[in-house]
Amino acid sequence: MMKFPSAKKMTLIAGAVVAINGFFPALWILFTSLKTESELMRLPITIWPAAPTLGNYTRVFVDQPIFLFMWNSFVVAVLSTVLCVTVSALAAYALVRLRIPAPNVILSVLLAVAMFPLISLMVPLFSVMRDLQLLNTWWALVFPYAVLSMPVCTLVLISFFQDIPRDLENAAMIDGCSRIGALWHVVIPLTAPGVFTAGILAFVNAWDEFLLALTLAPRVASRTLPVGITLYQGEFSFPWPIISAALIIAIVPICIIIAVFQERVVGGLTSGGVKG
Amino acid sequence: MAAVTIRKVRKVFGKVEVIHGVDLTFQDGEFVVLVGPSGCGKSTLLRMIAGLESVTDGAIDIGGVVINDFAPRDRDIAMVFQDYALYPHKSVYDNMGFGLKMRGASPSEIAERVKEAADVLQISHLLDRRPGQLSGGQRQRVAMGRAIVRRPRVFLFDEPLSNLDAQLRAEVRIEIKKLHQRFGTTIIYVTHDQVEAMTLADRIAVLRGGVLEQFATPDAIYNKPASKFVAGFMGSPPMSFARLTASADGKTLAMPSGTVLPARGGLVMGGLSGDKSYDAGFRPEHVKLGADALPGGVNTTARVEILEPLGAETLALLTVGGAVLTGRFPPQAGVKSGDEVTVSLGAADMHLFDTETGRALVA
Ligand SMILES: Nc1ncnc2c1ncn2[C@@H]1O[C@H](COP(=O)(O)OP(=O)(O)OP(=O)(O)O)[C@@H](O)[C@H]1O
Ligand SMILES: [Mg+2]
Repeated sequence: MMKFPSAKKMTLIAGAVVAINGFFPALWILFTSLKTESELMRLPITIWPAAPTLGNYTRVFVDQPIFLFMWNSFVVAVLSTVLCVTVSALAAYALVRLRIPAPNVILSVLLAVAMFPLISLMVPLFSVMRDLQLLNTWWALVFPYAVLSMPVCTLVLISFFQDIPRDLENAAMIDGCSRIGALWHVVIPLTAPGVFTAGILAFVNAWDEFLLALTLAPRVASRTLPVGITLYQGEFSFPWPIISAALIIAIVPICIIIAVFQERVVGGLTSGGVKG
Repeated sequence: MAAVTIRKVRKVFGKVEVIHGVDLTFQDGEFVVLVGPSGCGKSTLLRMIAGLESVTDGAIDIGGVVINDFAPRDRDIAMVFQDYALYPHKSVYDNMGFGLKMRGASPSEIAERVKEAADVLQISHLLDRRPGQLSGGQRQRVAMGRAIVRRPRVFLFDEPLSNLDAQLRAEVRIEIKKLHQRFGTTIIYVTHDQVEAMTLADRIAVLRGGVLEQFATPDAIYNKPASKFVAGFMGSPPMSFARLTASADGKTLAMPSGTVLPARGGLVMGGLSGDKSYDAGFRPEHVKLGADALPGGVNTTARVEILEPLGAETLALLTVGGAVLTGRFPPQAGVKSGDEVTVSLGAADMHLFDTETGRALVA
């Protein structure tokens, strides 16, 4: 008889594949950031840095105002996330609860919009931002980022909102809430995992974005991390270790944010409200 | 506390009209039960009073003010939902205090009122728990607690006991009755359980397909049903019916097999048309075992089809004079299915209904 690996073993194997696939590049970048440039170019390739150095990290801070870029990225990501989640929550709620005509058509259009290649939006966005005199400000990025993440955030929130029994909101409205009040006091707390999921999606999208950032806010004062990091390369040089160090620094805030909200995302808050 | 008046209220969902112009007036402090079969519009009517559904047409008036366009929170009502609808993320204390908090009560006032309500409902020891950590019966009490803490003018209940087992249901039923006696607040209570309706109500409104069939005291609903539908719906086991034909002079009625029954009281005086058919309804207690068991009864033979012993009594499904009737027999009557027995038919207590309209002929 053939012996299949047990379900538990299969899960472990699958998990290992995912973990290696995800972590190997990150680890490679981490190791690269600890090597000297000459070690990196040497053959045969070393995996573990022979003489680990933090010199690349110092260069990251010395060569470019990376704290400013980080601050710009942070503000843009936070503002666009807040805006995106707020609007998406209202949109998702309306689509789930209110008797609006053809919610499925609206959903499909939303999805279709999400499929637009970013490059096709760049020229119109540029001229809009120029006319609004928002080029090279945070807002030039906050608004597009919020809008770009809205379809996926709305979809995530819809799937969470659908599971909330209507009568919970009805009870809240009888208890003295307006509809928005019921959304805020009852629906949002109960769908916290979904709200945080949507928030993290929007945040990461904004944190990572390069093309719009380069086009709409390239000046130093409003430059974000992804754009800032590319500036470490010179005309004829590509300092891999320094760029790797900058990348590691760019990843850290995301890791911290996800770690902090992890518990909320996983938390099983919704059990036991109704019969059962 | 307030009176509630429903005037010519209609409700249309899309193209379907589910409430067809209902008129009802509930007195201040009255306990009214809305009953009817599934889908007859009880919940819809209740939710219109609560403000959770819009009123298509007509007016709903609480305490002398038409509240059609008021938001639920401005109606000063409280509602207990079938599935309780407790806030899962809040403690029992916060569940009960939420309504007061939203209305700007001070923390000390909230504490005092929640404590008082919790004492009444004997849930003081549960205040720190989350709804998920409570049994069904406890959740039910918390849901009632959340309603009474606010001291609203009207309580609305939508089948609050339907998720409880039979024993708990009987207990909480008594609890609800006590609450009404204690607070004296107007209660509008929806159920399809006619035992709840009979035991709790000051008055019962029977709905059928979005139309009010009868609105009267439990006693009148039981003893003077306005229609064949009400007669068959209220009572356990329900009334059973036989098609009778009036004699030419309208003074007697004949069963399908020919057994003749005298027409009851006032009906003789012109109520009955000669040679016309009527539906006669007999409550099980008016079909008794033994000759002359009922005063004014008519003795006739019956064949026992099925016996259902319930302990204190035995229900008997009988074929009597060509009709199938249910009788209430004593527990150890010594009859078996298949037996031919003599029963006394309570002709004086029989209800007559028009075969076409189903309306009762009032004696
Ligand atoms: N939102 C809605 N949209 C369309 N039709 C509805 C809606 N709500 C209820 N109905 C219809 O209205 C009718 C009455 O419903 P309602 O819930 O009031 O019945 P009910 O008497 O409470 O029944 P039950 O005893 O099963 O709870 C039903 O035929 C139902 O299908
Ligand atoms: Mg209902």
